[in-house]
Amino acid sequence: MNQRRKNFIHKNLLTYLPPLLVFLVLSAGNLWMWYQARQISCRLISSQARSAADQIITKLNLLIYERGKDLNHLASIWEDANNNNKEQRFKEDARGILGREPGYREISRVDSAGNILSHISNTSDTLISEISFGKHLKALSTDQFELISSPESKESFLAIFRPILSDSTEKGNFSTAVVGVMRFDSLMKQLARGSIPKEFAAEIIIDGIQIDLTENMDSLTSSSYSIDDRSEVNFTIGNHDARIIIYPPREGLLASLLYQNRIRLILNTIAALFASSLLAFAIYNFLKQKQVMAKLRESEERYQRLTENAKDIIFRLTLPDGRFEFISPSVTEVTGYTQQEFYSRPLFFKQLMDPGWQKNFEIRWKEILIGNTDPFFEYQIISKSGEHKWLHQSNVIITEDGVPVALEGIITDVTAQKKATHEREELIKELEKKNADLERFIYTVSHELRQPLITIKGFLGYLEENAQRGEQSMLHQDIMQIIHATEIMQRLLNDLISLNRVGLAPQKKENVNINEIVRQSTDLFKEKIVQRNIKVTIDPLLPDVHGFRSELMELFQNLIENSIKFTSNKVRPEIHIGFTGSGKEVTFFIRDNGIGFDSRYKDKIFGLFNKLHSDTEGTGVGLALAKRIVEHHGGWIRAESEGPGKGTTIYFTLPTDHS
Amino acid sequence: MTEESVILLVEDNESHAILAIRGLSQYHKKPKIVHVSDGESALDYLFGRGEYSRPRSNPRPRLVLLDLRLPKIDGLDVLKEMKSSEDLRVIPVVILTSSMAEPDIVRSYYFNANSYLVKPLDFEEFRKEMLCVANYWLNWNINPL
Repeated sequence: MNQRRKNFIHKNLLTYLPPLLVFLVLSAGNLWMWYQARQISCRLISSQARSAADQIITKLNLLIYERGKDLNHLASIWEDANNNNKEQRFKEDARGILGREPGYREISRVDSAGNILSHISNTSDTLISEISFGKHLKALSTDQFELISSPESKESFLAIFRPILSDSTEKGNFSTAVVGVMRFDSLMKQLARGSIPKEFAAEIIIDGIQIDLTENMDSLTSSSYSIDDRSEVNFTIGNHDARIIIYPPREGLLASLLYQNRIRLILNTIAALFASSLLAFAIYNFLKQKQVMAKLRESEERYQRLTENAKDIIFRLTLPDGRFEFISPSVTEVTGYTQQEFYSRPLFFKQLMDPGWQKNFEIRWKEILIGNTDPFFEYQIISKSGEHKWLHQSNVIITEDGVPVALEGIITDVTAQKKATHEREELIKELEKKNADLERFIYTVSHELRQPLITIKGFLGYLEENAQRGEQSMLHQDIMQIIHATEIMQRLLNDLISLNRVGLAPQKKENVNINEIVRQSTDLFKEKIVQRNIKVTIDPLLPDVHGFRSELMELFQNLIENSIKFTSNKVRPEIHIGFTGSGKEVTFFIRDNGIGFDSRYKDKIFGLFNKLHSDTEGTGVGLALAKRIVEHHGGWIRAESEGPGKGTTIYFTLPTDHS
Repeated sequence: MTEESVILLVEDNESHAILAIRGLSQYHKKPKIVHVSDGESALDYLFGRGEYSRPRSNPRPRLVLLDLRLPKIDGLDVLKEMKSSEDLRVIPVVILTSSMAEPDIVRSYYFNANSYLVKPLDFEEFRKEMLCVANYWLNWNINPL
């Protein structure tokens, strides 16, 4: 079973089980109450039945006792030995009894075999002769009465027995006896009268003989009495089993009680159903609300998490006082100030503004107060640690009835982006400059390369002309011009290649021993130095440089060569190679006492193909190359001279550190 | 006073100077050609300063042939200085250079150069150009006195 199905069942169980249980409990209570009320009604009926039965027993016993006394009198006639006229006396008294007691049907004297010896009857028909008394006599001898039913008339009779003791000494073994017979049904109806409430129907069954005690028992089958609510009471009269059944009427107090009870049951059931439905609805709603609340809480937590973890500052401040209602924790990271500091004072952020932005802020704030603002703006602040930061702010003004009440928005720290943009702009500028430099370089180079070509072609033209004319005086001079031009061109090309190579060759920075570089460079020009007796001074312990070996070699060679070149007119030429400073960057210098230059041209001499002295050898690339190498190492280079003829010093910085 | 035509040739490249002088010398009136090899010397000559302070031996030129790339003071600076001088601005200046860079051409005219010529690679062309320059500026063209 998957989780969803499980949840579904769980949810439905939780929703519907409690109401169901409540309904069941209420219904059970209802049923119990209904049952109890019904039981009370039934007990009422049964107590009626019991009381009726008791009364009937008492009345019957009393009747039998009374009739017994009559029969005793009749028996005593036969037992009186002195009476000679027994038969006549018996008949007279019996007739008297029959006339006096309406219940009697007949009184007889019988022998032990059941034969009738004397017979007195109210009616003409003889009952005793019709029924076989014999079989009842045995029973009668041991009991006070016996019920006899006539198969022909289907009537029931009550027979009361009294043995005549003169004929027999023992009761169970009599010779003759007096038997009084009464109509049982009418007798019982008479007995029952007054014992059973009139509104009830009743029947009594004694020894299987059923007698309706109510006038119209047919109504039992009709709907006048409630058969379902009948009550039965079993009892005995003498040796006889008897049962009385009482039927309550369908209408009347009891019935209405029962009806009310039933109505109450139905109403209670409906109420229980209603209550459980309400409960189910309530539980359903509760669960639903709980679910909704949980979702709401979850969503709220999610937003809170987002807000609190966001790098951007999310805020809301009230207008017009400028008090923060909310500002997300990232504000601390950006500004260095805590949330509490922002909450503590209205317009706290104003003091964060970079002084250069204060005026702008005030203008914007005035605009905001009247409900106007740009959706975005940027400004600078000074953080707690004194850092200048660029912030980008997006705004929404919340209004109520057109009056601005709050400002909500997001502030992003865009310092890094600004810096990147600035760097990019710088790079673009640099690139544009380099591009322009390159363009100029190409023109310059093409111009410079044309020069020797013009010379060569020009003098070749003259050579040809002079050769045709056979004129030889200019020949040597013109050829020398051509040779010189080709040499210049060659040097120019070599220098250009060197210049172009700076920063292009795949090489790694390393620690370069400058002492060694200087020694190798001076060795290269050893011949000239010795020949011209140049005094070369090299400071001891020149620091190592972190850079590109081949470029550094080229740099020092170039500068030393320049110094040698520009001291050519000196009697005592001197070159001094040294350094000043220490730490990450060291300034080297190469000083000579050569021709020097006018300090007005100190910037020009590093320009490509720029020569201060048209009469000196060289292409005007050397110092441009030196500048390029130094700049490639992140340093600067400058030339100083106190004037023409007063020597030159070239200063340049190089990095000594890995960083 | 004999009217002698003086041309001031400002050219740092010795070979080119020789070529130019030979070219200009073909002109029948045989102009006097004064050659200086940097901008500073050119201005000194024109303003009569330093070693050129004696006007008799250093006559005012009727034409200046000016190279652009010069040691010390650049050709354009020489042009600028000349054209801002009340006295010298009337002297025709013909730029004679091997540069065909557009900025050089534009700036030259901006600073009131009278003509801009690119040194031809071809020998015959070069010679013809020099002759034409001399003929045009010294013969056909009328200069203020």
